[in-house]
Amino acid sequence: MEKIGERTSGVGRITPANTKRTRWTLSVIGVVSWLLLWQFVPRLLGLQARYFPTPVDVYDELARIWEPVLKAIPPTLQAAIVGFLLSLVLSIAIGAILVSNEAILEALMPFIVGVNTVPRIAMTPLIIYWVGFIPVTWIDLWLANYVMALWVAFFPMLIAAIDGFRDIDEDTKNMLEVYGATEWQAFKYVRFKNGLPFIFDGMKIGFILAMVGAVVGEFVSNTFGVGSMAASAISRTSVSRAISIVLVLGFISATVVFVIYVAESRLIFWRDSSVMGGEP
Amino acid sequence: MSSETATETPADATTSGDSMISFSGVDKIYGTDAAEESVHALTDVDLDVEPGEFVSVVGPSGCGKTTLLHMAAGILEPTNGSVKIDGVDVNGPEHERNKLGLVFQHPVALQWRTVRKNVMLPVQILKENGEIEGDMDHYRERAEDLLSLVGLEGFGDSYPNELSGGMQQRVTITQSLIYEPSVLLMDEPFGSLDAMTKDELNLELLRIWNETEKTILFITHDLDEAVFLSDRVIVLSPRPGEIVDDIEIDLPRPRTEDTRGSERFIELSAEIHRHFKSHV
Repeated sequence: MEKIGERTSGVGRITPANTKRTRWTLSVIGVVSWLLLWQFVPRLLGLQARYFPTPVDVYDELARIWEPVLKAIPPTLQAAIVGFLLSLVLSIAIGAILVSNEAILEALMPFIVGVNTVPRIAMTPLIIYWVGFIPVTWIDLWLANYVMALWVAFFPMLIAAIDGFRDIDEDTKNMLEVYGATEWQAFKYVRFKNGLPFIFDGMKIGFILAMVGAVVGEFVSNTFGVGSMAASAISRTSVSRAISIVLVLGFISATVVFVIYVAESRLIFWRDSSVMGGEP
Repeated sequence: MSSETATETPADATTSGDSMISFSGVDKIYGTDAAEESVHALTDVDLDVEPGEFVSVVGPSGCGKTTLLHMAAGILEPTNGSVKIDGVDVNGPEHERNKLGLVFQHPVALQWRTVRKNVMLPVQILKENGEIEGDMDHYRERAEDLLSLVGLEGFGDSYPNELSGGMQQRVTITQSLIYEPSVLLMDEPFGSLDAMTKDELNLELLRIWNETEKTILFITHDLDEAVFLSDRVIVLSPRPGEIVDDIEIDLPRPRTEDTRGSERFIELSAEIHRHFKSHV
């Protein structure tokens, strides 16, 4: 008989590697079970494939429309990324200014929180309407998708940045006061790095929102992209096509969020990070 | 320093003398707005700490010990009276930031900086603001010397989360010594450590004090710790805090682990416990 302490193989022992393996196994089991349920339950219930397509139907449809989808990705992704990056830069810059000036922050906070609570996506038709007024020839309705991405992603990212820059304990504040640190020094040496984990959490949510903004913008403006493709599929009740396009969008978002997560875990070595944002 | 004494009025000179830390007629009332309920934290505090003296302040929870220290650090302003460091009002424009070092109950080491870089933080801030002279190399060398003085030799490249609580507190102490302040203000610096680490750091602190000749104002709720370390122990009454005792500790120096077992130590400790009970 072998004593527990003498086991040399990693099997059955609680090690980081085994915990990771268990997590992966469970994830795969979860996904496979879900696909199986989706594949067989609609049939058992006697639902029509046209209205309730199975994974196999969706896969077949995706294989059929793959090339046009591939062509439609760049404009949508570009709008989302530009809107997201603008949101990132603006949220850090504006957050830094607001945090260094208590009075302006207090005055603007109701507005910021208010706009963040509003379903900003409901403004899509208005934004497209206003973009139509811009009297510049090379600008067209496509700009509305960029504006939408920015409009939807910016406020949660700004709030994340403000929360992060402000999340300093009393002792650290007092220490900076004793050294006579200026607002800029406080930001440069403490607030910015301290806020980074919050900013990364904001980025994970922000990119998903930027994608939603760009796609819904296309829904309404009907400019070329994955969003307008999905919209036309939905309007023609081509359910399997709509689902396959939405899956592609989800895959793109997930990939970018994963990239952000990897960047975070490299950059913020002093703290654990999580894929979904918030406390791990 | 002669320019400061020149600006003093004769009346000031009589109250502050040549003491390093001087409270005269200090009151602190929180919430002075008529609408708020005000809290009288400290009343009529007169306290002079001579250069090179080690003075502890003890008192029940909420008696204003920390308020007293924060006023000495210039973080809080007294409602009435004045607080001077080396004859200069800490809240006045002539106060020099490099005069004071502050050590809190919890370590304030920044998680993303190595021990060495944490120690250098005040130097960076004070130097950028023209509060200290000397080139960075001088301070870098000094950081190494101090790290070995506090027993952190070889830990310069470690990150704070790789160190124990006691070691992190040593980092904070090093940080407050790096720019050679003449006054060290310590707010229950060992309050969150286990008894053994605390005793060890008490000895270390006395050694550092002996080698660096600082004036130390030390806040604690541990009466034995106060007796062991100090030249004088100040006892505050419950709120509003008022100085009710000022006890000379005539234990011989250098004090060692054996001091705690000496008859005089036990006598003084008993006396302070008694004073404490009768006033609290």
